[in-house]
Amino acid sequence: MKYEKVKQILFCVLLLAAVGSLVFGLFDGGFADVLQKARMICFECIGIG
Amino acid sequence: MKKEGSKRKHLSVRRYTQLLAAVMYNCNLPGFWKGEIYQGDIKGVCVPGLNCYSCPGAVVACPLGSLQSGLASFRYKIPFYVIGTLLLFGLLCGRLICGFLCPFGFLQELLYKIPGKKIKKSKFTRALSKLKYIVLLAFVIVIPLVKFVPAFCKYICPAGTLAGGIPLVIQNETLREMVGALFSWKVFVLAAVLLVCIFCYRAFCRFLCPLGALYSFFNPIAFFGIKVDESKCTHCKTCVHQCKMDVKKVCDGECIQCGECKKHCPHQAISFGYKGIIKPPAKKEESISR
Repeated sequence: MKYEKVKQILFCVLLLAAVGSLVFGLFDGGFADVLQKARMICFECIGIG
Repeated sequence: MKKEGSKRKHLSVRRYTQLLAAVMYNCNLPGFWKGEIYQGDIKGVCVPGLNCYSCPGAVVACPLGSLQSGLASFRYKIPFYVIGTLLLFGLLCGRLICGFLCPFGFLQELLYKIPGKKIKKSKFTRALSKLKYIVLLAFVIVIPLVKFVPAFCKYICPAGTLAGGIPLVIQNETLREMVGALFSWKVFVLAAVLLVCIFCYRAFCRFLCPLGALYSFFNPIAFFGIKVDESKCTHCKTCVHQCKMDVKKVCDGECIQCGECKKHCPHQAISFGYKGIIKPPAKKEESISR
């Protein structure tokens, strides 16, 4: 029972952190950073760089 | 008979979901024959499964590649967007993503269907399954932070070589001229992984995948997934024995929530759905009985 309570609290805390991080990241230009990286051929990914 | 039908229905739903995810992530088909990658705006969206953004077909971003890239430039900016996305995916579904939404996992399952002698899970494979946590820590977190290199993508990722490297190198002459020892190494890793996957169920997911390792931490608290009805469960362990992954119990870190155990449970104690981390209000019947 106590373990379940800990899981619930952990879930809520992490959910808040996730949403907060995602929203802050979007306003902070995180989407644009990923887009910039993903639009170019990643030489590391394809094994050249 | 009805039960058998529902088992089949579930399995086909999983197969269709896997196929649909793979197609949706990689629907830029002209990219394959042009040897160019998609550059539209939706490519900034991270998907839950492992899917290289340098694949000519990819219309979305790989969360693991984005995370490494973000950590490699940690000095300038913390990758909140990618961290938040990964946290959210993990909290919502845990490793259900591995079982349903990962194209590379789907490929491994298809390879395992090739007939032949299969390697069963054992103490050795269980020990080897811890390797993915080392890969996550070293290649996805520490090396990108210290050396500013997306080390997993660069030295290991077979999904990148298969979906990105090989098609681009075949189609693009400039890239072909740049091929060297690193590309040969990555092709070797890819070949080894694909070969092992014919004999060993989802070998890459079980032993190497850092994305699976990351999602595994969320499995016990995830919102959706496999759940066990304790009132029906007799702890007969049929689910664990039937599972091809290195699980010790249903829904532990190794469970990809494929639902294979649901099919074999003699007491129908396993089901899919909302896992009840946050308790819903008491049922009407209960309040009436009171």
